[in-house]
Amino acid sequence: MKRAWLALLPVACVAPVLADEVTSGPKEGAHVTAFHVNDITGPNKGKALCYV
Amino acid sequence: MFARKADDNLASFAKRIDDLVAKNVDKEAKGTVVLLGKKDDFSSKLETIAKDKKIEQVPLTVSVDGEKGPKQYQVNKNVNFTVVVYNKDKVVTASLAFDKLDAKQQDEALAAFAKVLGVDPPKSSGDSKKEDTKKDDTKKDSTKKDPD
Repeated sequence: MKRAWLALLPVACVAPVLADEVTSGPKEGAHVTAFHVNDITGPNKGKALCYV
Repeated sequence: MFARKADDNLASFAKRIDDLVAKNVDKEAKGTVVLLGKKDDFSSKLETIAKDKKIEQVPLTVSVDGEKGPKQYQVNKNVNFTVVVYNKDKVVTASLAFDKLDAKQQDEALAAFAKVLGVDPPKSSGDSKKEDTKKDDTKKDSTKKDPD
């Protein structure tokens, strides 16, 4: 019975770490799509345009 | 990349992207910094960064979609810096989420960018500091060996 508890313990410790992984942005393999920005610097300063 | 704040680390990172883009114009390298928030809150800071860091290749911009950013990019509202790297076919090769943009995070993001360009990653900002220290040490050593 002790062996079963020992075997389960590592799983219980790892699970919260995986759950805390923070992600942001499109997933790898996805296609990026157009979106607009207000350009503040550079040759297009003052324009609203898409750089994708 | 998407950023929720324009701090000194963002400024240095933008400069490093700018350098990498400038060196790989022939490979059609491009980069854009997109601040998530109100245009009026970031305009002056971004102009200062571009001027001080002499950023010429990478436009510093503010999203028209405000703090949420473009919906289709699924930018996490709790993440300060999101770096999206994609190839010529516009396929995402990496999406990186950072709370801060220290040298370590910058190096990771630039390595992903360099990989998609097929070039060696730029030297770490930490490495350049070490090299400077080595140069200083060399100077000191040469002074010791040749006092004249």
